[in-house]
Amino acid sequence: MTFLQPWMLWGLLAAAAPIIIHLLNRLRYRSVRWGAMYFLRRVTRSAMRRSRLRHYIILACRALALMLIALAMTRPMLGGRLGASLAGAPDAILVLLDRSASMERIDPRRGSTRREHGLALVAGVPSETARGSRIVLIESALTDPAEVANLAALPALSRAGPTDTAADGASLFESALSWLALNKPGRAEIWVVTDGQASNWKPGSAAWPGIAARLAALSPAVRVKLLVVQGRVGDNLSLQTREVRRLPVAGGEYELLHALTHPAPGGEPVPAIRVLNGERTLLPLPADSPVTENTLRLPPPGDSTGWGWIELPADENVRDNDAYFVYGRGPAGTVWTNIGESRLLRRIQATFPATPGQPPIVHAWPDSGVPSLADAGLVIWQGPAPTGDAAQALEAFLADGGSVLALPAEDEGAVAAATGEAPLWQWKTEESADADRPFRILRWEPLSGPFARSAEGPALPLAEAPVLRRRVPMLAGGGEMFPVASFNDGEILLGRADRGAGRLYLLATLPLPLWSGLTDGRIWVPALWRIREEGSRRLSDIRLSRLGEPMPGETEAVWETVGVETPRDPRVHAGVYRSGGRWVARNRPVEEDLTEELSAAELRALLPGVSVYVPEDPAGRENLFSEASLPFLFLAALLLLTESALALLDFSAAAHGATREGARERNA
Amino acid sequence: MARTDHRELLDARVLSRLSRLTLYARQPMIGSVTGVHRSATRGSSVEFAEYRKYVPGDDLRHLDWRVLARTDRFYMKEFEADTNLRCMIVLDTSGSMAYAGPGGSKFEFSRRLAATLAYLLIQQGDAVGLTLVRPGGELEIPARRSPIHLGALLDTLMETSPAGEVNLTDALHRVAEKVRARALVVVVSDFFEEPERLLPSFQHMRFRRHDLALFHVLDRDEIRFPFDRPIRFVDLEGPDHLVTDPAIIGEAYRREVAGYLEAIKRGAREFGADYRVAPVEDGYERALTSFLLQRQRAGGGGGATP
Repeated sequence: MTFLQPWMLWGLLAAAAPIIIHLLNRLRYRSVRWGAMYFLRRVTRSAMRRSRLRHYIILACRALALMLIALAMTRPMLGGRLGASLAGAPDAILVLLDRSASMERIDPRRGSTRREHGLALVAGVPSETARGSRIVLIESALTDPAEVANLAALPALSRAGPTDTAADGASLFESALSWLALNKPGRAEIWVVTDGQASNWKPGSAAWPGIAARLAALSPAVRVKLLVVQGRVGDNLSLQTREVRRLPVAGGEYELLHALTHPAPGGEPVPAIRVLNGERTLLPLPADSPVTENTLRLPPPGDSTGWGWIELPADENVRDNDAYFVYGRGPAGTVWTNIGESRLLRRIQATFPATPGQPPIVHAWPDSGVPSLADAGLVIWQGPAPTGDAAQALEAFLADGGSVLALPAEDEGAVAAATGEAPLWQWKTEESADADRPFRILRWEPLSGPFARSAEGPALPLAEAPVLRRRVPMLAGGGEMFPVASFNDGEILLGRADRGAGRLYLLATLPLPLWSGLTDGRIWVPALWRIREEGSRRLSDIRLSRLGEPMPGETEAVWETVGVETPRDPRVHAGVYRSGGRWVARNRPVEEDLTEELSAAELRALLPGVSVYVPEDPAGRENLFSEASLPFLFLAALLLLTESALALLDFSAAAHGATREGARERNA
Repeated sequence: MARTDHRELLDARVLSRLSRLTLYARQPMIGSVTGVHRSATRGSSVEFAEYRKYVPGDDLRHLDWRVLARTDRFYMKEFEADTNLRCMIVLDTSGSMAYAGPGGSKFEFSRRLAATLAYLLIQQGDAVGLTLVRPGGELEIPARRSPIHLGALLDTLMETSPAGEVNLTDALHRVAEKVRARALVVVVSDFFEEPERLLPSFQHMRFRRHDLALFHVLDRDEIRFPFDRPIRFVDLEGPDHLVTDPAIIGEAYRREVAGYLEAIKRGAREFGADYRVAPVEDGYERALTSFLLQRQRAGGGGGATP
C-alpha cells in the first residue's frame, strides 16, 4: 500500500487517543468512602465477562475507526490484497507489454487503443507506488528487457508503440524470469498489460507449468498483476495475405491469394484500395462469408519485382487492414531424396525432368555424410525419419525455409536406426483396403497449398484418387499437424507442420499403382512442384514472410521501407521492405486475427501457485491501483455505528460487569 | 464525665412539632405503670372490654347490676387497662453508617432520630432503653422512664461514633431474647446484611411478641448510585477498596439495591414489622412524623386516645 499523503500517517496516532483517554480515566478516579459495599461486592462478584468484552469492543471500535479515518486521509493506494501490499513499493517492476496487433483495437468508449489505454493506466499509477523501484519494460515484439526511468515515461517510448506482431505470453514471462535471475532485484512485481488474446497466450502450451513453478519458487516472492485490457468487439474487418503464386500460363502472371475476415458478411463489397507498385486503385472486395478468400491477378513484373498491398477502410483496428505482397521470379531449388533406384525415384525424376545441358534437378542423398542443401528447395525422404547428422541437416534446412516431404516406406520392415534420438516423424502400421472399397480422400485445402485448385479453376481430382495402402504419419512427440488433406475416416493423407520458416509435409501413401491413385499426374506433379516452390522461396530475393519469422539475409542489413514515406521497422511493422536486391513483404501473423480472448481468470489459471492479482473495479474499469479512501471511510462509519449500538444498547439484565482493580490493602 | 450539650441531638422545633403526636404501640404492652398503651391485662380504664362470669372474690364494684336485675345472673364488667411500654432503640453503629452524602451523615441522622424518639417516649411516660450495635458487641442501656435516664441515653448517643463491621442479625437475636416480651423494639440501621440472614431476626422479634419498628436509613446516593466516572470506593467498614466504573455496573447495582429493598420490605411485612425506608436527605423529622402518624391511623392498638 502506498499513500498519496504519507505525512498524514501521523494521524494513526489518533487511534491511541481512546485508549489513552480510557487509561487516564482509570487513573484519574476519585475516592469515595462508601458504605454500601455490600451491593458493590455483590455486583462485582457477578461481573460479567460480556460486559467487559463489550467495553473493550467499544474501545477497539473507537480506536479502529480513528485509525481508518487517519488512513483515509493519507489517501492510500491499494494494489491488491491488503496484507500483501502493505510492504510498500517493490524493488523492481517488470512491465510485460503486449504489443500485438490486436492491442491496437480501439474501444469506442475510450477512444484509444487497448495498448494506449493499458499504458495510460500504468503511467497513471502514482509515483509513490514505484518510488525507488527499477522499471523494466519487456514488450512482446522484441522481448528483450529495457530499463526505463519511470512509469510515466512508458507511453512515449517507441518500444511501447504499436506493432503488427503477435505476442507470446510465455516468452514474455521467460524474458522476465531471465532478467530476474540475472539481476536479482529483490522484491519484484510483474505487471502484465494484455488483451488476453488466446492465440498469444496459448493456454494449452506446455511451457506454462514450468513458468509457474519457476515464478512460485522465486524468493522473495514475485507478485503478478494482470491488467487485462479488453473491450467490445465490434465490426472489425481484417485482411490477410495468404500467398502469391505464379500461374503456369504464358506471360508469367501471378496471383495473390488473400483472405478477408468480415463479422457481418453478405453485404456490399468492401471498398478496399489496391496499391500495386505505388499505384492506388479501388478494389471492391466481396465478403460472402466470415472469412472470404479472394484472388487478385497481378501483372507480370518483367525483370523487376512487383510489390504492393491491399488496404481496407479504417475501422476499429487499423493494424489488421493491410495485406502486403511482393512477387517476381525466383530460382527453383534442387530436389534431394534418399530414395534409391526404384519406380518411385523414376516418377520423381519424371516430375522434375532435367533440362538438357543443365545439371539434374533431383539428386540422391549420399549413403554417408550430409549433402549441401544450400540450393535445395525440397528434400523427399522415404521411410523412417533420419537420425544423427541427417536429421540435423533436415532440421536446419526446414528452419531456413526449405520443404521436406516424408513418404512411407514401401517395405513394412523398414525401421529407424536406434540412436536414442526422438525421430522427426513416425508412421503408423500399414493399412490396406480392398480395391472395391479403397480409402477415399474426402477433404483437402482447395485454395492454397499443394492440393490447391489450378489457375484455371478446376480442383485437383483427389476425390477420384483411391488409396489402397496407407501408413498414417505422426509427428514426433505428439506435435500438432495441420491436415492438408484427409481421408473419409478422418485420418490424414497429407499433413503439414511448420518448422521454422520451412514446412514439413508427411504423406500417408505413395504415388505407386499398388498404393494409391496419386500416380495421376494431375495430382502428383502440381503438388510436388508447389511443395518445391515453397521450399525454394528461401532462395529467392523476393519473399513473403510473417512478422516473427526471421528476416532473410543478414539481420544487420539496412532495410528500406517501400511505398510509404515513414520508415518502418521490419522486425515489428508490416510492410514492403527492400535491402539491396532483396525484397520482402512482412505481414502480421495469421493468428493475430483470431478474436478469442482469455478472461482474467483464465489467464490467472496459467500461473497456479503464483500470487496473481487482477485489478478491476465494479465499473469494469481496469486499473492497477485505486485510491481506497472511500472504503476506509465506509469501514470507519461502520465501526462507529457498531460502537454506538454497543454503547447504547443494554445487552441484558445480567450482562454487566465491573472492573475490579486494586489490591487489598491490609491496614496500610 | 462532662455534661454534654444535648441540643446537638434534640431540635426544640422538631420536638415541638412532634410532641403533639403520641406514639402508640401496635399491640398490647406489658408495662409497669399506667400509660397510654393498651395493656395485655385488664384494668380500670373507662374503656369497656368484655363481660365475664362472676367468681367469688371478684370486686363487686365491677358487677353489672343492670344485667343482674334483668337476668338474675352475675356478670362482671371488665375494662381495658392502660399501661406504659418499654421501648428498646437498637442503633447500628457500623462503619457503613458513617456514609455522608449531600444530605448529611447516616449516623447523624440515625442518632438524632433515636434521641428524638427517646425523648418523645419518655415524655409520654414510656420506658426507653438503648442498644448500640458495635463491632465488639452490644452496649445495652436498659429501659427506664425517668428524665434523668434520658440524659444518660443522650450522653451515650453523643459519645458514640460509627466504625467497624458489626453483626446486626446476631445483635437483634440477642435483643429479642434479652428484652422482656411485649416491648417496642425500634431498629435504626442501614441493614447491609443478607436478607436471608437478617429476616429470621425479625421473626424472632415477632415470636417474642415485640412490636418491631424498622428505620432503614439510606442515603439516596446508595440507592440511585449517581456516578458515571471510575471511582475508588473505600469501604467504611474495613480496609478494602474497590475501583470500578459506575458506567458499567450502575444498572446492575441499582437492580441489586431494588431487589434487596424489596426483599427486606417483603420480609418485614411477613413478620409484622413496621418498616420504612428513611432517606437521609428527607430528614429524621419526616421519618418520625410518618412513623407516628401511621401509628395514629392504626388506632394505637386500642390504647387510650391522647
